[in-house]
Amino acid sequence: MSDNRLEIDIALGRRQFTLSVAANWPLDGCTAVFGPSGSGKTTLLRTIAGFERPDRGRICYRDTTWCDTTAGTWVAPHRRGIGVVFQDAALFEHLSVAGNLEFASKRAPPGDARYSTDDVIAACDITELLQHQPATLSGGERQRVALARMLLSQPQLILLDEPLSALDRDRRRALIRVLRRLPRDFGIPTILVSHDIDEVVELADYTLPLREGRTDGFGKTTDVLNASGHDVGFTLVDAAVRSIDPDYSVATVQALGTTFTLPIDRDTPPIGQHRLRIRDRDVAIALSAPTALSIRNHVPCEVVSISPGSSPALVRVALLAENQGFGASITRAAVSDLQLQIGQSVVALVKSASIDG
Amino acid sequence: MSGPDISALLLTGWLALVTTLVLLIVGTPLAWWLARTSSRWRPAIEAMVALPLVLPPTVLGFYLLLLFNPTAPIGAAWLWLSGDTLTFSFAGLVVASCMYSLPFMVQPLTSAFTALSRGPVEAAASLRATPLDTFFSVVVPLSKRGFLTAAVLTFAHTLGEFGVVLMVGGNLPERTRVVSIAIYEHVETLAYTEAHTLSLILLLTSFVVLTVVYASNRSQAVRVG
Repeated sequence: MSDNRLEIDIALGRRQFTLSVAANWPLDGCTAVFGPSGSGKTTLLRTIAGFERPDRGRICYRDTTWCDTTAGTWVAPHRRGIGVVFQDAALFEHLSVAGNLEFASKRAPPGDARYSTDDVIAACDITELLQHQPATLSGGERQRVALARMLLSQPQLILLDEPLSALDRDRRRALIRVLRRLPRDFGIPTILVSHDIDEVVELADYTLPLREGRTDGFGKTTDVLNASGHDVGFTLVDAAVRSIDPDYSVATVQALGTTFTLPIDRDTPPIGQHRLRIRDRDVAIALSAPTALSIRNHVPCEVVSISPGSSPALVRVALLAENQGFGASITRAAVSDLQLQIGQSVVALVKSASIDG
Repeated sequence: MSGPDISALLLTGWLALVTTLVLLIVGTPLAWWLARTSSRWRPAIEAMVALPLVLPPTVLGFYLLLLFNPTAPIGAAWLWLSGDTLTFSFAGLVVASCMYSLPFMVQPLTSAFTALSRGPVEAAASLRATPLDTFFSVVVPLSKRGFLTAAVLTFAHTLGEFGVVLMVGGNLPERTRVVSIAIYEHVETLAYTEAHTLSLILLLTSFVVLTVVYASNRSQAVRVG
């Protein structure tokens, strides 16, 4: 999939900030552009879509140059083959849901449909809504219709502009389930713009952090978030789900060189590669492996650093197991009681961890 | 009602209809440009469009009369092309009415286009619709109230036109004599009964047309909300 390269080198001035981005990404699966509001991420997305013109620079996708200010090349948005889902869905209010979908399928390039209308309607779970008018739909329903409409235009690149921001908790979960399957089911590389770290963790394979209009490294979401110094209070760890025990509702997961037993909270994860999100506050430290303890997940590891935590009483202990870093949030008092030192071998007790993406 | 009065009524209706159609074609792209452009020429163009609202019709009519004169370039070109003069002809009346009623077409359309959010337009582009396709399949249906208002105001305004017509068209029966001029003539000759009939017809027509617009705007607003 490495032929899905997006090459960007642009500068664009706006009143609040200057966007200056140079990147060359292999777009594979879902890539998040992650940053606080006002960091220019939506402008970046709109420039990729062709809704904004950069002051100078070039944008190439696969073998096509979409924009090159030096050569005077400009490909209009409707010729770029992009699928956009807007923050507010931007449905056509004068058409029914079915009319909205037909608008897209009628204009899709003939002949190279990789999936059918029925596949899309089923995946987005909108069968019941087809005869409705957009004005009668809830926020979550509007986003699912927008998603289906976008897919039916058979895009070669998907751009999602904070698609979950207008939704409440339950609807977010439902839409995340749909979005997570997109790259796998439809095979289209996706760029997601988001300021919400949970969204990024759950959806994105790769992350491009953006701060005040500038990029700040690009890489696997796990590496970027762990290395970014964002005080996020958790670590993402590569993990493999080995088996599911339906009687106890637990999954056996291989990670950090040990076997975890983790409760399944909402959806049963499929067997295979996943990511484990370990919160600092769910990790305790013991000098040796304890026995007779309800915490079942014991990770032999090494203390890498000890730094101030989120409150005066707390410190964050950075730990390393199997070349994978993670952290524990414990009290300063405990550190001095245990006489923890850098380089010391300890056992991390992981009370819980959630299985993502 | 006399034959000349009936032909004045028909001529007026026909003039209003033709003017509305011509202005729909000319005014729509102009309004779209005004709604979207960031050109520094926009204020000047907007002012030109709004001029007929403030100028006395006789001023506009006077300038048009000079332009349409067969010795002036525009008048001469028209004479050469069509074999008829622009002054004191139906064609001249249509051109003059279009100038005079331009703001009534362009202003409601511009505000309808400005009110349209960029979301649906950009969504259409992202779904591979060309700009022209987007305009007809998204912008026009979403702005249909603006179109209705603009067309009806233009039509009704042209029905009641007097000064410009008198200057450019004069008062030639079946050629340029519209209702407003026929009424004026009846009053001049103290034929009040005829003046009453025509005035009442014009009053009622305008009232009915405007009521239909406001009623349809209202019922749509209720349905949307």
